[in-house]
Amino acid sequence: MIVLDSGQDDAIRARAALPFAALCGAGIMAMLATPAAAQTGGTPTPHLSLKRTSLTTGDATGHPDGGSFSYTTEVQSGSTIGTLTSQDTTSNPNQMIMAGPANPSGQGRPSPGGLGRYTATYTVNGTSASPPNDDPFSIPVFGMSCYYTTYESDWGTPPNMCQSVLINGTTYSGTVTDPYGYAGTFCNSFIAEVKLQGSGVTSGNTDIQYNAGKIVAVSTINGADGSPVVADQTVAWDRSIIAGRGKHVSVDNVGNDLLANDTGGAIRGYRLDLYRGAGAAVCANAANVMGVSACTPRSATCPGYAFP
Amino acid sequence: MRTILGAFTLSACLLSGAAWAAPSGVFEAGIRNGALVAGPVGGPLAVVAQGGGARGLPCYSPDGTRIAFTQSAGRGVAVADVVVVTLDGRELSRAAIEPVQPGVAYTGMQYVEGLRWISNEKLAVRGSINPAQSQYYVIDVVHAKVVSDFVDDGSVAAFSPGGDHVARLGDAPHYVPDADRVPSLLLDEKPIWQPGRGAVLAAAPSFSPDGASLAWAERDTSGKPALNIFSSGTLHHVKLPASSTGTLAVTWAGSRAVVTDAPEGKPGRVLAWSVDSGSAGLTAQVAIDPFQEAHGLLATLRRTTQGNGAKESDFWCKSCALASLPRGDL
Repeated sequence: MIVLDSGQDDAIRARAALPFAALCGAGIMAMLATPAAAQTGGTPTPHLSLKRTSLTTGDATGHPDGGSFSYTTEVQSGSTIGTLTSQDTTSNPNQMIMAGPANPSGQGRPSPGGLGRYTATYTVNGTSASPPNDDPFSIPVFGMSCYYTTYESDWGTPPNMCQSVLINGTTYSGTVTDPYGYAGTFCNSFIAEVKLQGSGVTSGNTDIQYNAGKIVAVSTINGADGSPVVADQTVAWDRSIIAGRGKHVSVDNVGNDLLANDTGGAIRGYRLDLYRGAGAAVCANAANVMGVSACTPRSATCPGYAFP
Repeated sequence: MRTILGAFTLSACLLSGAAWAAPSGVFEAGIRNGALVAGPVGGPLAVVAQGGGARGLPCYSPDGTRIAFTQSAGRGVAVADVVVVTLDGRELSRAAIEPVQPGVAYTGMQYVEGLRWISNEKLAVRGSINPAQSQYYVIDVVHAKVVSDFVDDGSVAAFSPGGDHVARLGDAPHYVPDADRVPSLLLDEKPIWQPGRGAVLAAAPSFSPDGASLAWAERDTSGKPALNIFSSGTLHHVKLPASSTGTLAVTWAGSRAVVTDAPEGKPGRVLAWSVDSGSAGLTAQVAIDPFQEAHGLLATLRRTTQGNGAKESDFWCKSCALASLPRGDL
């Protein structure tokens, strides 16, 4: 039976299962009325503690020695969760290995992950330290996707090498000079895209923004919380999954301490959209993996916060 | 470069109007090793379509006689194909999303991320451009044509039953700071709601079952929620209890717009309004999710079919609780 313990050592400890019966009389045992004092047939009730040792590993430690570990998983929320395995279920401490699933789409299409509900059990002589459905722990898996800011060179070269584009039923081709008050000659398709998404990067690496009928140079392109989006560091997330601001997320095989400073209606559930910079090429080969994750700082608004 | 021009190449559509017998019971359609498999829940799943690129997002039509799915077309060819087949695997239509054309730059979705049947003959397709904006297409699979193609700035587009009307959010590009956004809700491209700077859409728009009314929720600059119902050319504005601080969703139960702060089957509260007499008024407060039974059944089906090798499964039944949910997820 595991009880989440917010102690300073970050461990998740099982309820104390010391062999109190050997020390206490039966009357005292009845007064305690706690599993800590439970005893079965003279065998000390096993004790199990869990601790995360890295993003994808953890240790389960059982007492007394001589038992075996087992693990079960189920979807707590979302759709797709990871696995929790152990190479040797009798080694003690027992190393737990957490892994994200393969992207079920098989095509790189972003797929949301989920929050896995895990139960660890330590069994000694037929007595288990973790009754089913009692105090499991949770680990989030986020499915990744990729986004970028439009880049002028993706749209051709003015004045004679511009590509055309169709947006909301209108075809944009050729060039445009001083569009929306911004000096210069540009491919019309690039400017249409800047207007569509709200920003872009010129071939001279100037960040520009369209707002209220004008295009202006800006010092940064900002995410939804008003702070700059940073290539390979900014992720957009669903605020119903990670509430509040100032959160960082680490995702296996993606990166550590990614900055969750963007959001939007297209990012739903256990999905993170990683900003990769300017130009379509930065997302062309995105693997969009699903990775075991952890978010910081620890709080109730981080999924799986109790097992960080 | 891919292109948006001629975004759909629909193959000869074989829909003949023939009556396909709707199955009974609860059925599952999923993807196994890139193939589409389907069959009764608990029974063996038969291969319906296989070969070619990997498939995804299987989705039964409302009447259960067809299954739509995406199929990888190869990144140098198109973003994906959207295919509709009968239950015995006969291909009814195939739409190439964003086929590549030289000299034409690509904008729009990177992947098809969602499919939803608007009716038995129309499919909506969505894919994101960035965290906020999504591109949508509506495919008329009977007449082999694109009904509409647009970008929604909040990825909240709604379609009336039958697909005659479309509501979308405009004038709020992703990279414009929140404080500078002045979004518009457009009904058939005409603005019907412009909340002003700082106000936000709090719940996606939803059409009534008869398609005559549209409801959505908003939060003002102080976070106070309200329900809006647009009906017969008139906008009705109803303040919601300030305690509705969570995620909101708007649906319909007959002629009543239903607001819940318990979307996706989570615990919460449901409030219902109607516009029966020309003005909006609270008609009921209930403590349960009107879709609780459907969400519960869906969770049970996903749990019981876990491990059968099929991924991304969709479930269909003729008269069980699932019938109250939209067919597919955008």
